[in-house]
Amino acid sequence: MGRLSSSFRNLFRRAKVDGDLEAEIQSHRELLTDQNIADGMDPVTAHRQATLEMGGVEQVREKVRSARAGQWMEQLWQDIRYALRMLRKAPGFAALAVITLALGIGANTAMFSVINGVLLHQPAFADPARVMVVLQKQPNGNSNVFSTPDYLEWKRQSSPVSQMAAVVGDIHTFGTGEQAERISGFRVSSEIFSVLGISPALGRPFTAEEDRSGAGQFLLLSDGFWKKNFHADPKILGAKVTLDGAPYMVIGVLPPKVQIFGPGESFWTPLQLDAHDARATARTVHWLLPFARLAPGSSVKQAQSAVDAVATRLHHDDPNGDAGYGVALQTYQDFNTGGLREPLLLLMGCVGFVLLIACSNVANLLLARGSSRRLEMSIRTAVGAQRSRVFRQLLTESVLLSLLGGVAGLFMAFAALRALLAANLSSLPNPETIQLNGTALAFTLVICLLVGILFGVAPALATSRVDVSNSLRETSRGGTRTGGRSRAALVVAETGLAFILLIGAGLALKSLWKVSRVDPGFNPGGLLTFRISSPATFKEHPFTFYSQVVERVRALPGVQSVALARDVPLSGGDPSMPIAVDGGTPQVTDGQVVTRYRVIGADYFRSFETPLLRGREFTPEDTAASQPVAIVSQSLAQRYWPNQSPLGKTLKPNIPDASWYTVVGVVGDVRHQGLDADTEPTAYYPFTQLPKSIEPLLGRYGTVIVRSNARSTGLLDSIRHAVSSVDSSVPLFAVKSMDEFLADAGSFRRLSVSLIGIFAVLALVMAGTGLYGVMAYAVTQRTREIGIRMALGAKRRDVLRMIVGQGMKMGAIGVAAGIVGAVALSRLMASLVYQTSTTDVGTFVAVGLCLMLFVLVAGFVPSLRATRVDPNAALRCE
Amino acid sequence: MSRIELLQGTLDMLILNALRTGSNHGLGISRRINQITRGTFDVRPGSLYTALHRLEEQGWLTSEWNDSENRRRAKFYELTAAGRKQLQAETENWERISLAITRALRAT
Repeated sequence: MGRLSSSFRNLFRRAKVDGDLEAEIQSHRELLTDQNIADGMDPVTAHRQATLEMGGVEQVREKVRSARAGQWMEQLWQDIRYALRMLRKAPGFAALAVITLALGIGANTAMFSVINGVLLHQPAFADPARVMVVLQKQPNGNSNVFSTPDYLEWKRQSSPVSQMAAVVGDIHTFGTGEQAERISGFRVSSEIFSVLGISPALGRPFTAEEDRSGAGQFLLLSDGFWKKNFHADPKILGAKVTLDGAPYMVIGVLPPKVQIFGPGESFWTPLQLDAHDARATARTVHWLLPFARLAPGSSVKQAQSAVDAVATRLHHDDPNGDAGYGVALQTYQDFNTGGLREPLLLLMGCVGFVLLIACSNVANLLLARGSSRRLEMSIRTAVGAQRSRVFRQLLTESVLLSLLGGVAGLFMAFAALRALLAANLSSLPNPETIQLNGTALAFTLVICLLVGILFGVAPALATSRVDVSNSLRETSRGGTRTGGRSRAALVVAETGLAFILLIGAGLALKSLWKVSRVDPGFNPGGLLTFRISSPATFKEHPFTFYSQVVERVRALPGVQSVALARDVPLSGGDPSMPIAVDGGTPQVTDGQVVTRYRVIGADYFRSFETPLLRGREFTPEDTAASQPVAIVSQSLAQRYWPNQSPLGKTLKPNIPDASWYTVVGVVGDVRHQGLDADTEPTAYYPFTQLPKSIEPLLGRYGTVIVRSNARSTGLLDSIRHAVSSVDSSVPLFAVKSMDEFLADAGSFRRLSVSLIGIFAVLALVMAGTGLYGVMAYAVTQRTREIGIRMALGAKRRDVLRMIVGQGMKMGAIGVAAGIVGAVALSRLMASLVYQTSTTDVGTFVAVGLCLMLFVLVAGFVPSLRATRVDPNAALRCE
Repeated sequence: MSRIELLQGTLDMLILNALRTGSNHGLGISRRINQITRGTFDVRPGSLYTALHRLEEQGWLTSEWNDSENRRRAKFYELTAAGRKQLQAETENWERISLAITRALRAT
């Protein structure tokens, strides 16, 4: 009979096999007894002698059993059933442990799913880790996208990277009339296919010839757009699709999941750099984002030092050229998740702490249970169980507990992720990739096993280490203080971890409060904004179209004021460039802050209620024919004309055909990049006086700002009507109130604050219950001692002080450890705070006091019980 | 009687050898090993039955309940063909090893 079939026999016919073994051992003893009698012993002595010689029937049986094939499987199954039975017999303990673990594991699973979806998500490119995003370093140290000449220069120099391609976001109106919609996508250069290592799922990529200006209009559709609008019809190849009234030939469909940055991208069109477009020639217009693929065998570091060498040479050849400032290579993944990495890892660290606390809590529960199971273990050892076997049994119990906790945790994680995604986070690049997938399940399983072993080993070792005769004699009287020290250590560790988490939450909360008090520089209430894109008929003068729309909207009832701008605060997009002042040349010195270039119309500041500090705002009288005028922000005025009135001074943006603008007004600073971002020196120019070269670039869309007292739903309908009365083919898009912009800008911070807050409260509660458990247990253990003390005349107050003092001591050591930990981790917390020191004394003191108060309460309740001990009863329980 | 710890393989070989002359029960095997080795090896029941069950699982022994010499029921073990082959292989192997070790010890 083979070993395998023996395993099955042993497993499934255990009763028969065991009975057989029993009989065999029995017969061995009888034969031995017979022999002893034959040797001349009396029957009683013969029997005893035989038993002695055999060395214990149970031990023999256990030894033979554990050597059997398939034994581990059988024992595991036996252990699991036994563990389940034990848990069922202690439902309170089981529930507490499972809930604690579920909270810890669930939080970790949910957080890991987010990280797995955001940071570990691999784009659908070939060998995605080698796809780089290239950013140009600016004289002031910031990074920027590329101007056309710089891009072309760097493309020629691209030896460190095997190939370079450029992309730029684009929008088109698709369809006509009522069905017209704005779709977004990318203009891409033909090299993008080899740089990303992809090819269309259907049709073909652009050729280099088709990527030349005037080659025609070609279109690749995204998989989602193709399915939604063309029902995945393959006959779309070669057909014409109308975008902005012009026909585009569809030459291919992209594979599913291939996208430049996020979902919702509808198309790729060839970049087709135009020699007559300012974008193709101006050094100052930075608009192209290059992608590159690392040359085979080259690391990011090697490639970076190679491009640095090229930059040094370029700078030497042309000290005034932009190209010489060099470029920074960043992996696509880092670029796409920039700013999320640190907060997400910090949050992962937080849930890690929560899990550690949960583990030590359960370890504490197990230790406490272990001492009450001493008798059980002694009996098991006495009837032949080896210590390793008892240890394995206990570890099976703890792993089973953590698996149960893991299952409950999965449900919690599922609910948490749904709630998270319902919050509709605009700050996450690919929300749909956040899900409980196989990787997350595997992570949870591994965590469960690790956690089960982590919190199980120490208690299992302690519990299985029994001195049979001693504990049997002692019976259940208790009195052993083993494990007391390790339990105290666990509580100290918990308190320390909880302290660190509370500090994190405190700092985050304080930062949130600081951010909420930041003045955005405008009054968002009652402001509705929307974008429109000029139709082909206004191609040369898009702003003429926008101002016609503004006039119609202004006439609507309930509208208090209307203004036009290219972009509104918090929506990004406006270019930045150096400026020249008072007849000088543009300053591009190192460290120089580049000025934000914003294009607006009349009534802009009145609509935003941004304070006009000096001079006037733009009026309809500022036309192409009148004197060029500009308005500057307070910070720009202070930078260029400190202690002087900027009114009447002149400035010129770094655009080839720009004129000198006379400053006619100064306005307060506006937080254009977010409430927690620095303000930038900003110059405002009227759209009527734009340099011709830049008008097509900046005029692709316009934003209309409406301040009204009407309900926005009714207003929106009448606005739509007003817009279609100018041109019925133009759809409204990006309809959003300024309140929504503000809410979106702060959404990630609010989310991280609430998450850290939840984790910190969890940690606090767990540490509190842990401390309570240890104190309650210690009080029970010391009942006799307390009884004696009180019999000898100790006052209740003294006993109370003794017990509470013990708890406070543990708490204080924990807080001290926590302070060290929090200071050590302050660098990590830096990503969380805004205008708050990571070692903010106020927060540390408040959190410390709060935690000690919690410790006091957790220690006080069990000690009250201790003082109610009746000395007589306590002594009698001997 | 001095007791020497047996290597697992050695015990298996001794058991197989003890059964070469015919079937026997556990106690008989134990006595026989004691006899053959002149009391050097005293196999305790725990190790004995562990080994017997293992050898049976490996297919080198078969077992059957039978009456013993004094009409006690006992489980008798018998060598199978595979068991005989195994015994031969192990014996040859052992002889090679012991010869080599003896030589090595003499050489020093």
